[in-house]
Amino acid sequence: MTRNYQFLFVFLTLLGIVSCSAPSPSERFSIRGTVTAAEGPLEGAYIGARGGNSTFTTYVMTDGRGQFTFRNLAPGNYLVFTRISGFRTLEKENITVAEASGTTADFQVEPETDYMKLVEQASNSELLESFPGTQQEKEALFSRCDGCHGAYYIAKSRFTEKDWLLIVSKMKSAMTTPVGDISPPGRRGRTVEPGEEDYFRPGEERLRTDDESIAEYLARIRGPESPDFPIKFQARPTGELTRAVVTEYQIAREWTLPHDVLVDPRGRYVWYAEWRLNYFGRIDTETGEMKDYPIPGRDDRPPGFLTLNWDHEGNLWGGQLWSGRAVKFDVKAEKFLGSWDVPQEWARTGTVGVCRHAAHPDGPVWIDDALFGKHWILNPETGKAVEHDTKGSRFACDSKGNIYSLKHGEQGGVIKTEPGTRKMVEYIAPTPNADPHRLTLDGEENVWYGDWEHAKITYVDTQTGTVTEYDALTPWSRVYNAVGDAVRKIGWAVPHVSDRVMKADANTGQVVEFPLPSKGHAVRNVDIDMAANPPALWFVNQRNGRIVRFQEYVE
Amino acid sequence: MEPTCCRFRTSTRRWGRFPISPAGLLTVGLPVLLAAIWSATPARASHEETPAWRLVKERCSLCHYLNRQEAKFAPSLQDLFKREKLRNGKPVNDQTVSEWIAEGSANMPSFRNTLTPEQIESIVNYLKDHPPLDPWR
Repeated sequence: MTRNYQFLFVFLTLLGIVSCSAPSPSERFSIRGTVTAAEGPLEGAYIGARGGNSTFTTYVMTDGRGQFTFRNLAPGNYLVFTRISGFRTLEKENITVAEASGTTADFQVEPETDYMKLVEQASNSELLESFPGTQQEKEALFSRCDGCHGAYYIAKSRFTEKDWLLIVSKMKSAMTTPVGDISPPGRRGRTVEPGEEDYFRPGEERLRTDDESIAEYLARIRGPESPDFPIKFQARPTGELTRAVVTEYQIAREWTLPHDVLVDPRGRYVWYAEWRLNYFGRIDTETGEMKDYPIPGRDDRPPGFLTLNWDHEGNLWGGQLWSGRAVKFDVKAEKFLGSWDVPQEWARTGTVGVCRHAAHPDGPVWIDDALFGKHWILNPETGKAVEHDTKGSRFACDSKGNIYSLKHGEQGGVIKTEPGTRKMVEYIAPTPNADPHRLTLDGEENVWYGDWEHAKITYVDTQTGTVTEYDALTPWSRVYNAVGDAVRKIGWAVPHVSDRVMKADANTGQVVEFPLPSKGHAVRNVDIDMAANPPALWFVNQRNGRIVRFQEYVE
Repeated sequence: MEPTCCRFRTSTRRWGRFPISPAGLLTVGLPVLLAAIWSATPARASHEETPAWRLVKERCSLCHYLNRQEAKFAPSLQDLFKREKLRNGKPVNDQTVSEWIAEGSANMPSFRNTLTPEQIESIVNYLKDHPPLDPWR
């Protein structure tokens, strides 16, 4: 035996000692165990695992035998815990994962009896379903309050009717914009007068959305003496809907309210923008490292961003809300490249559109102030922003330079504007008064958007011109944005506060929904990472300041 | 079939194989394994929101700026504990601020049925001790 072979023999022997009980690499697990309740093994129960001081937590669900398996976790110590609606959270600390062998952690869970903890475990939809009262009363509440606050705030509070009236009436003052942020001093509107409170759903007179009616209802369900109402949790998922892995990255900054999330086309990194702070953030998906990039803004304006977009050179463009600016950022050099103001004091320039394939011939940068219905085309080289008239808002650009934007109203849907000629083609949604909020193009340049008010994913086949809608399954949903997987013909969305992932199969028309482990998502845009297999979704958990990755898995 | 997670068809990003060679396993993996067994470090994340911060965010900041002098829906709470008196004329201290939160005012709801005394104490301590925040909060 040569020296080399002797070394190999010793190496293999040692390797065998280290990993003699380990399964082959394709079967290797890191942590596995069983979740059992009094009634037996629990299916569709989320289990989380977080490494010591790690920025992220990974979740998987149990199968029909109540078993869960984490695979390929990095060696180290983990906190492993249950997250199951209706059951007390159990934690096991210092679960050690070694490179070569897995470990087990079993849980015997008991029903949660602390009412406020049950409220925290419930999704917005579950709370609204659980509230006492008529459907009309709940719809009025949903119309008036839910777009900004969510039902959890109500469920966690108890006020007298007088105090509820005090709270509700402030929401329509000149301090608040119709989209729920605080108007800066120079851009205050007018206070909505009593009787005018239907501004979220004009014309629907059957809904009693005036301050007094809302306050009376709230005091009835959450007054000082109101009995606690039982919380109706949705059934846990079964079968294929338990096959998902969710990763939550915790942003360490106080006041964080992430809005847009985009996957870096170069891979590895994910970028996000803060809604109420002048920051971009970056997540390294290989190490979990999270990095902050302060972005200059006007000191005399509220900070924050709305949209993020990639241009054809791989730069990131952000719409800086009240600073009235479009911001350009070099992600390779990690460097702020500049910002351009629109020629209007107190503009709310949340939406900035650029083309990913080439600089658009009619103007590289398109800026919207959706709140006040203004639109500009910006030439960053000259710094000149020219106002233009358009019927649509928001922006997506295909490889031919066609611009797709969204149109509200009875004949709502998508408008395609051809480059040069500005000829427009409309794709009208089947549902009247469509309420599209954000659109994306899939790999075959078909349009997907979210219908906020009607809680739908809408799919526009740009080859045939057909428009197809898919309804969210969970009641009290709203859909802000949708993304498409052109390979599998599947649309995805994460309805605003339903804490569920919605999957619409354009081949079969079937819609399914996966639950998420945490609550409080308040999801705005969703991005899809087509380099992952199956594709992974990225979105925010706004209330908890997290960036979330969701992926189905295959066996 | 054995329950699985994270076994994806092609992508090695994030969920892929742990990138270590056999030699690396011998020279690095074994010490890591032993170190992991011997040094059981706490697994708690250090950067999650504190309960006090969450209470202030959910219960105070909707109506009050915390680091701007101007009023939002209600007067600013910036430097509250550096002021001599509250608007009701009482001196600023733990007790009077706690009472104000519990009882409310003509322009503020009473939180006595919503927050426990411990939660109110937690908010008062935060307002007293927290370093300055971003000016637009």
